[in-house]
Amino acid sequence: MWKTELGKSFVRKEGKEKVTGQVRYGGDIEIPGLLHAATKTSPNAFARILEIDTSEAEQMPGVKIVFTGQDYDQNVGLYLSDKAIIARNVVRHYGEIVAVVVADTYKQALNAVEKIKVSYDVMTPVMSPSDALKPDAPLLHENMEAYSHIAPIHPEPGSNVANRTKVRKGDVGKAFSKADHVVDVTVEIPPGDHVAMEPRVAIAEIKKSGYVHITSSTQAPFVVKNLMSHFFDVDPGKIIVDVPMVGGGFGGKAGLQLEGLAYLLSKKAGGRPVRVVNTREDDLLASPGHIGLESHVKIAADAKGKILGMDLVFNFNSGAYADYAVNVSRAAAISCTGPYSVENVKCDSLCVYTNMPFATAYRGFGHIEMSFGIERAMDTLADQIGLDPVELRKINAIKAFDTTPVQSVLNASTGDIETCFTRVSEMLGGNLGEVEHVDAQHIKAKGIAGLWKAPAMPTNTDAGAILTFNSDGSCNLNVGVVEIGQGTKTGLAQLVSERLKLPMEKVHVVMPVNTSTSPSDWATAASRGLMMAGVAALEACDDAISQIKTIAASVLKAPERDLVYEAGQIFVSDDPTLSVSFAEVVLGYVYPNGNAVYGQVIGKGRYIAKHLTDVDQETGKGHPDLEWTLGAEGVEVLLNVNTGRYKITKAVCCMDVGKVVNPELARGQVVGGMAMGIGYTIMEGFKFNTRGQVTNGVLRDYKIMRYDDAPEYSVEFLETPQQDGPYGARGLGEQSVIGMPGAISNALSRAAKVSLNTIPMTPELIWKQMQKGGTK
Amino acid sequence: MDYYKAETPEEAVGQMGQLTDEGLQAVYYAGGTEIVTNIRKGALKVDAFIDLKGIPEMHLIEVKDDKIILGANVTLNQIIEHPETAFLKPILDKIADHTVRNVLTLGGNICGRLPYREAVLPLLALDADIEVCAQEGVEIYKLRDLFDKRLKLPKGTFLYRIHLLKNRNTLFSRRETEHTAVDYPILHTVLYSDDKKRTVFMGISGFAAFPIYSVVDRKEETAEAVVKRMLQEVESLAKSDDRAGADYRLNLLQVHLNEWLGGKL
Amino acid sequence: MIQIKGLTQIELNVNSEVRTATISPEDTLLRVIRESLGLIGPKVGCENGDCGACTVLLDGKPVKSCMMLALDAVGKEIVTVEGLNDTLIQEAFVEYGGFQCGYCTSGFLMNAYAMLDAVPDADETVKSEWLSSNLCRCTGYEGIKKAVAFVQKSQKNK
Repeated sequence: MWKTELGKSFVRKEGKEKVTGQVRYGGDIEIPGLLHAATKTSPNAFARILEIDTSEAEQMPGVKIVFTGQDYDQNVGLYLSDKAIIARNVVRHYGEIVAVVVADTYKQALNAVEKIKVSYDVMTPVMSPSDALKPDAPLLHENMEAYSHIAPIHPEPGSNVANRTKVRKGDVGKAFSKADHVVDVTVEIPPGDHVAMEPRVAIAEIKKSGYVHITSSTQAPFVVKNLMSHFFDVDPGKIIVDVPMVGGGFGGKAGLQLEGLAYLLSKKAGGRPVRVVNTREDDLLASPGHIGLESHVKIAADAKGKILGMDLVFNFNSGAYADYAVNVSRAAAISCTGPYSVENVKCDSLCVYTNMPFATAYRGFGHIEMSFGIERAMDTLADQIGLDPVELRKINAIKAFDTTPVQSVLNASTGDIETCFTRVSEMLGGNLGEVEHVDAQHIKAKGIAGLWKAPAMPTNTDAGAILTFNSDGSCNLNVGVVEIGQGTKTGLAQLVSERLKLPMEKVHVVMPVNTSTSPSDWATAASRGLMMAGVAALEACDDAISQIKTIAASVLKAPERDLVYEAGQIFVSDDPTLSVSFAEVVLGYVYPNGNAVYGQVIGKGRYIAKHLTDVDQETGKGHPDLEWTLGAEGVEVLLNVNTGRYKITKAVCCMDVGKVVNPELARGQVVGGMAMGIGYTIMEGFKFNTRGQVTNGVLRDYKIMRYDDAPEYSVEFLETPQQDGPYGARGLGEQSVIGMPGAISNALSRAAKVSLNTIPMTPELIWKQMQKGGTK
Repeated sequence: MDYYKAETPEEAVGQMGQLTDEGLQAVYYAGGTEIVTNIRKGALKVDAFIDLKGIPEMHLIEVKDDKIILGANVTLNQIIEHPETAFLKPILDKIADHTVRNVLTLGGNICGRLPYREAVLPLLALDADIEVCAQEGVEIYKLRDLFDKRLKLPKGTFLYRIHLLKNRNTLFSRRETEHTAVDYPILHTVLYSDDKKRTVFMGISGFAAFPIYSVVDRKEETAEAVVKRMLQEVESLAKSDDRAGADYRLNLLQVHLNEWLGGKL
Repeated sequence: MIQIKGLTQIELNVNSEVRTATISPEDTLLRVIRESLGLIGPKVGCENGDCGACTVLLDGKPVKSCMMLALDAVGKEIVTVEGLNDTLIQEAFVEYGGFQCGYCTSGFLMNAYAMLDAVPDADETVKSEWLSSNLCRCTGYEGIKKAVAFVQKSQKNK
């Protein structure tokens, strides 16, 4: 009797390879004749490039080519073509690449880079969105008018605004005029970085036939294929993108990263294979990081705490180029209220250029930034009214059939966030509005935040799955989802195991992704891999079973409707002695006399998002959101009031994920997200000097969480089924970063009796605020 | 870059002298953690390394009569793990991280380019003697006489061994960072009270642009008065940088001093 | 006085094998292990001594191979993750989620393996001290904690 394997914590399919050093990442691949690249980057945040003298570098031993921005005169960009492949004529941020040397060895390339001389005409950099929005601010993209862009993005030439997204729901003016309580909170977040442990890498080779081979640590091989086809005018079928195991992505390896540069380097080097691998410095600064934000949140509520309206201005800091940031600011607008039901919403979400390292997708895609402001405002409101912070959130929690800020209706698959709030409060021991005086110097306090996110993706986002079989009846699952550490491939294997009723050892998963052999998949991002590729995989299973049944029906001389299957055997339900094994049929069936029939079983499945639309340019109205994952998070902190030093002792999360396919993997994702959110809040973010140079461009200065910073984690899941998800599952990879800044700042603000509205929340910041005098 | 490994102190200084005469840039090194990373980043350009790890006595921790003798090549973890020098653990075990301390040497921490040199603070507190290798032979100095912001070794010489007296009081130390513990200090305070000489020592690293210390004769003053004086002397030296502001550093120093005063002097 | 100028052949004892490599004096142990000896377990994460992805054992002690000259490893026993044979810590990492993307894993395994060998009954303070030398971005360190605790418990019961 088949017992469900869903909800079991199977170990990762690729686990053994990862603990024995047998996994090859992009930087571990050896190709005979591989050429190596090294970069020269800009020490200036904003400058015209007057001259690049490469003559001495070109003469250095082993050097094949030197590449500058002049070698390619077209712009590239995901949504808005605002970026030269490397700086051309002007540099717009510290650390931007101005020249690349390609040589026989990496060491030779590095030595040659030292001989490149660049002269600049330095300009005063623009170092914040508010500065960039001033009427007299210098224009960072004077040629914006000429940039091509997709329709849902609305750049404003003559300004530093790369995109503006508007949400207008109900009547915010009226709501504010009727309000008993109004709060007005401003929060600030600097740009920062993903800091995946594996720096980005891309290898490109161009064959004489015109076929372009790319190997890359990408989360989005099909995006790479399609964009390169578009920008470099190569037939899409002639671009082959190969993805080995990837050492962490977090959004930073989605889109187009080093692949275009590697391609152009190879082209200039006669098609020879060229590898570009980021130093940590380049990975932090030359390649994009996460977006910054200056957010102004106004909430109007009645006497009982019911929110009547929200008036929101999000000035996102995109840095020097728009990349994914124009969609991040758009996604934040679509979700702008946080997981609360608000009838009257006005939001203006701007994506603003500055002379800072630029932003791409990052875990949470604008939601962690949006959430910080909303959750600080919620606690400020709770304090003002005298309501418990958990109560206030429960009163306003969004539910099934409520409308989102863009007036899409949440369907029956909506998670139970109210229970999430209750559980988080209970996990922290309740009484979130109170602090505890542990001793003369130390105060213990708690903070909570709500979270929600739907994938921000094109309306035609898709996935596919192919199942092939082996001579022992086991199967091979081939999907376009990349294994970046999130464990989706193992989760998908469990779904297949469940549907085919084959034990997990009989389900093999193809780990690498290759765009010429894997089915198309939009991108491994936005927490939709398990859901979409899962639905496709189940369809592929059903397709395979249908073929297996057809063959078995012939062999067993019974109608298909009388056939059942389990553990690799297919048999007649009312006479189980009549059976045939998967092994006997999956590669064609051979009769005793030698006649062979049917051929191999190949299962196929596909998925495409249904009923999605873009949003209206004036009101934001639309249905861009496929499925929402809702939850709540909280922390407990211990603060030393003399020094501002503190420890996060507990971090808890309750999230409604529809179906927990693999509890350990799911927990791992949530805990990892909380850790990332903690680092984001308390110790990360780029630092700049007055010349716009980044001063913390190495990991001993750009610090992320270490082992001894980790709190005690608690995670619980609710399972309100996602009706169109595989066995009810929905996405969960990103969501746990989202509530961390709100929860942490709420706890610390309560403990220190101040308003902590800037990131990073260092002890010194808290101490300084306490010196100024609490606001309560 | 050329590599030389000396087996005796004479070979090392001799080679350094020779390279200098040829107009070449050479560095002494032991652990190498700092120079190797700086060379990769292009922050250090040298023509030659002179490896001191071939000199056996520089790797020893010896106890003779009332003295502890530390070779400059001894790693920080070796000092922490040795029973006679384990009293230095609270100060040393916060420098860099545990893995790096398997390679980072006492000499390297004191003589390297980074301005923190935290390992020098307890040595100054305990009024250590140092042996320095020069072309003329080994010379002995009082550490306090040669240390002013950094160890001012005569050109071409290197730190050979450090001598400490065994008998001592307890060292007080506190270290603060911007947030996470594995980081440079924004303040590392070492305080020491010498009963026999009736002096109070304060050594602080990370506070100013270089380590600073003062040794004050207590005379008839109270501990509080002495501390107040020492604080006044250093107040204006507090720096503001990426990791912390001057005000905050000063606040932390006051907290450390208050904590020390709360204990017995 | 040993003198080495320009390219030189050296012998390195790696994973109980004597291997030869042609190096320049300024070459780091990390690059030589990976590029000359083909052992890709130790990873390039920062080449600044900050992340620990390059950690190998040198005479039983964990060191960051990116901040060490290859010359400084001559005459010592080097162990990389490829030299760990079916150890309990490797099994524990798989069972308890000690990794997700796997990039920091070989460094963490070397450090944890050495720690459990040197200090089998390490308490939280000691574990925290050793293991804060390595960065992980995926796990929040919880799986690593569990894996190490499991090995300690198993070793105690033996």
